[in-house]
Amino acid sequence: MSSRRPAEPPKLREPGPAEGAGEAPLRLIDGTKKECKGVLAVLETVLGPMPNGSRVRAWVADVPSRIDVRAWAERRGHRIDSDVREDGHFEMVIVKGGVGRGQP
Amino acid sequence: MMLMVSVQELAEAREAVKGRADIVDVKNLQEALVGSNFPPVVREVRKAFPKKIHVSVTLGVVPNQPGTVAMAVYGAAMLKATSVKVGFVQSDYRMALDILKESRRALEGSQTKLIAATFADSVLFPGGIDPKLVIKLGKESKSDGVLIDTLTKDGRNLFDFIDEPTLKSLVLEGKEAGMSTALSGHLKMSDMDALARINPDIVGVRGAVCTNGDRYGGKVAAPAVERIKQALEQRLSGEIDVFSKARGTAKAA
Repeated sequence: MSSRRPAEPPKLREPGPAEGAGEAPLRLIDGTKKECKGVLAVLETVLGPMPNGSRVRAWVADVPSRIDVRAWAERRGHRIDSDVREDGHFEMVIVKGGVGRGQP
Repeated sequence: MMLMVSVQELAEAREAVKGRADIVDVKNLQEALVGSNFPPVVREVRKAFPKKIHVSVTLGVVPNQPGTVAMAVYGAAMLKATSVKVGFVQSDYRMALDILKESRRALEGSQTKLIAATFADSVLFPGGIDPKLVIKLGKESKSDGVLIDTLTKDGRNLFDFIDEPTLKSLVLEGKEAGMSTALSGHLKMSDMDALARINPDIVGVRGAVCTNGDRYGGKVAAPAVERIKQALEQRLSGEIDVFSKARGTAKAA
């Protein structure tokens, strides 16, 4: 039996030690601000020049945007490493190119 | 998702902001249904609100004259508009692109964003440009955003001309190109589920937030704006699940 609240989205995986000591903190894309350009547009711009395997942290404001980011990641071959509901937003860790940490 | 409300004067803009609109879109319905308002009106509206309230300027359907349009775009920038919308109906693709490129050049050094706009119902006009070309136009002209609106105000709306899956696909393509995406065109409360599923960055309304639902005779009313805002928020937060509803509909069909 799960203790998870029904409204909480599935937690795919803990972010892991990447955000721990010895590693630079992940770049944060804050998609919760009221901007004309949504989080997908910013993710495209930021991830574009990064090498495969790069990871970013994205804050996504709402349910439809979360669904969009997941669909976008799948289409682009990126991997969602974690996806958790935080205070009023979703926090997702995205790995470019679907390649795991430390791999080429 | 931001809520954009079309206004014709400062009093309406105040109502829109009171109802928690994020963007007031200044236009003039007396000129070609979606025409430009006068510079003093735009200046007055811009001055009345802090920068976090976006003030957009619509140029409506522009003539096939790149210099004239670029000058109008420059005027919007001088008025410190957050964005300026340049719309096309009876323009061929090459002309529309030239106009947008000149508009882009006119905005050099300004903070004003350029929005390329087409009309979902342009098929009703001889030589009307395919509205779906707006993404290509936006990309090639390096516009900051795109808008799909309607001109027909006979009761038909955006969804009567372009279906939900096509709009979803266009919005995603626009976002992936790094542009803001906006949908408008006689949108009603009953369209909110579909709009949440499509998830454009901006939803534009007027008739739905006017007294008596009358975009011409009525005036923007704060309580109606607030109702639309709440409806959007309920769908964005998941309080109203628009995705399982859609699946249910698909099964029933």
